[in-house]
Amino acid sequence: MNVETLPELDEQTEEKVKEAFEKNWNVIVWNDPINLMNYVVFVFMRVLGFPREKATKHMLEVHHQGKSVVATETREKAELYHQQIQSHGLSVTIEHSS
Amino acid sequence: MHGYRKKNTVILLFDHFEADLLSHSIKRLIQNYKLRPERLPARVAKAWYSTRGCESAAMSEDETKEWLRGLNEIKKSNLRFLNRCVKNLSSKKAATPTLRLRIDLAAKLMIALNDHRLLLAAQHNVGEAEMSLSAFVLTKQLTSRQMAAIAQIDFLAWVVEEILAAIQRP
Repeated sequence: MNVETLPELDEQTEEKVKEAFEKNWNVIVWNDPINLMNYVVFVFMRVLGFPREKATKHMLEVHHQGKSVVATETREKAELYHQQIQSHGLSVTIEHSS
Repeated sequence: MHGYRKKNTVILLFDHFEADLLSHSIKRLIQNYKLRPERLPARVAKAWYSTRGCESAAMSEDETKEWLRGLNEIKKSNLRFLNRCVKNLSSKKAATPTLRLRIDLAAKLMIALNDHRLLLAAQHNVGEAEMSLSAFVLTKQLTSRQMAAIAQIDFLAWVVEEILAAIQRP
């Protein structure tokens, strides 16, 4: 019986596949003077599915340290969080974690 | 203004002055939601449609445009609902203007009102320093437009807090 094997991936494709599946994109929320603290907690719970305690911890980090890394995800999911969090009015960026 | 929750509905009660003020804010919000990001005043565009995250993600120009278009669509998807809120708030028949909203719609209203707070702050250059001034100092240091903006920002904060409390009440 003939067994077919998948062709080996070239280096560039392998890099792309690796990039798509690796959770190496940080989602960073930045402090601002207008958004209310309770509202920020609400957004973290709604968008990121955090329990209240975790959402409050990240909100306080934003408030006291100026920013908080709220998630480290694949690029695709980080981009989704980026848009969802910004659509709620929070200041957010995504950055490669390396 | 007073808000409470009955099963899956959030009920917001206003007096006529509050209803007029809220209605005015929502009307302005609707006008601005209709505009494409590039047609908004630069400061407002920066507050609502900041591309800082797109830059840090090294998105291309086309990707950024698409991303902004998506964000604008999210805001525009609320227009019909917001128009309905204005209509309900403007009803002169009701002794107590009232909004009865499903929880998901109450959240949408809150997010929209928060957007208007961001818009006012950006438009009138209101930042951390201005927000933390005492009422006495406010009158000495700020323009009347800035003071009016802060009064609206604070009023909307009150509405946002009431909605949040009602949503989160078991």
